[in-house]
Amino acid sequence: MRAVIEYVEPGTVEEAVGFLASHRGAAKVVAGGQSLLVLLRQRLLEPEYLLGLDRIPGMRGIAEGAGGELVIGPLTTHREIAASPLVRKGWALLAEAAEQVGSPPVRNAGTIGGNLGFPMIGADPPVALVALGARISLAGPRGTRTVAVEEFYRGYMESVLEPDEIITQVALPPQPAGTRGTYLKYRLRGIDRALVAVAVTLTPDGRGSCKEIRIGLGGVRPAPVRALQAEAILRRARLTEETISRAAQAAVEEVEPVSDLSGSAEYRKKLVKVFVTRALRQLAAGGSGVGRVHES
Amino acid sequence: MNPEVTLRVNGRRYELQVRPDRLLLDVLRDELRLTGARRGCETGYCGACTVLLDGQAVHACCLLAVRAGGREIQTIEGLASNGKLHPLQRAFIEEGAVQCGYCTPGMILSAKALLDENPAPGPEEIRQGISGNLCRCTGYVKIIRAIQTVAQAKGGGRP
Repeated sequence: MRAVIEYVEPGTVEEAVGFLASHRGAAKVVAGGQSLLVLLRQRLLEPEYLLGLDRIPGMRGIAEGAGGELVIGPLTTHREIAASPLVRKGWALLAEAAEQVGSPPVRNAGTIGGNLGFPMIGADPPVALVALGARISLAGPRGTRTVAVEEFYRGYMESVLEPDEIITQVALPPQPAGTRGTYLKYRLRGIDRALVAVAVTLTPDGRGSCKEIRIGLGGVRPAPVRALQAEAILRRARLTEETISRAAQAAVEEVEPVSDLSGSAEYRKKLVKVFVTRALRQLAAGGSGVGRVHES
Repeated sequence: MNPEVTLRVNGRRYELQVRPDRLLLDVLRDELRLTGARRGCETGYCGACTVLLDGQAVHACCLLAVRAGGREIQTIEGLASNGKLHPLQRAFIEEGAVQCGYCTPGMILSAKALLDENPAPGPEEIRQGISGNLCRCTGYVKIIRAIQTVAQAKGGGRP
């Protein structure tokens, strides 16, 4: 086994990406370490350098941007997001998802940047981020770029994040007035990732129909997805048993789950139908503006 | 050259040179001989290695020792004061909340973090508070009862 030679703590984003570029492949960024350190111990990763971002200003914290958007630093922990009054005020769905990550020790140490940087099937925050229309900023030696969260993921454990790039922030647009949301998660044990997770934001048009709706699904493809076909059925439509049923069926056809020890692909498809239906019924009945979690 | 790290554990300062990829759990157990934090699943799942970092429960198996520098670490060894057990330790004994004992240090530290933040948790909040700690012996009933008795003694503990 190759030993890690050095723990490096750059003081600026430029220094960090410069180091990553000049040690391409040999350096790994460590945020909360909840995924990375497990992979190190299992020798699935053998970096020579570990890069800590703690000394870079602005990497941790939650703030409201000039345009009313929510700006979260990548080193912000799940606990901080779940407890933030600002997140609860305008983006409660994300706080609800953050509260469902793992267990208290994982939420105390784990970060939103680390969660995105190590895409695990069934992770909670990305599903809520899809429904909330989040954008992720990446910095690299060629400059910075911003991608929508659903375009951030490529496939199993893969994202568009290059080895010489770091996540510098997650930004969520202000949600239109009257927007409600719900987050449902199904899992076998309390500390598991989701077998299936559904996040929905719905903006009513004031006349009983949906003006806008976004549906994020987790656990059902190698990466979290937006259920575009299901959304299209419901946009400018009323939430009735008939439209809900059609949308839930459309969502099932949009997913390609994997089979693993927690559940088969077929079982996950059935869960998608059940949980999309439940989420939409909740919103049809008014919803509370916050997410709810389904315990098995 | 290995970096120098100052660890503050149970109120004592330790100046150490640690390899950059050493985990806090390994340093606590192998260097400082504080074996109360157990080696369990080593994947952040079972909670046997739980310690308090600035008062918050964390898995010592998922934390780089170099990143714990300068922060306040508490292990089960630091809970009793002047030879007197912490109320949670006494309650675990009195309620029979210990069987094989492997999960007990982590369980008690998670309970301490919970009660320090929320002195009067209800049963569901207690369950949530220890959800990162697996016990394979007791079925949790006596553990939850032990934590409840301490919460009630503090003047809280909703039924």
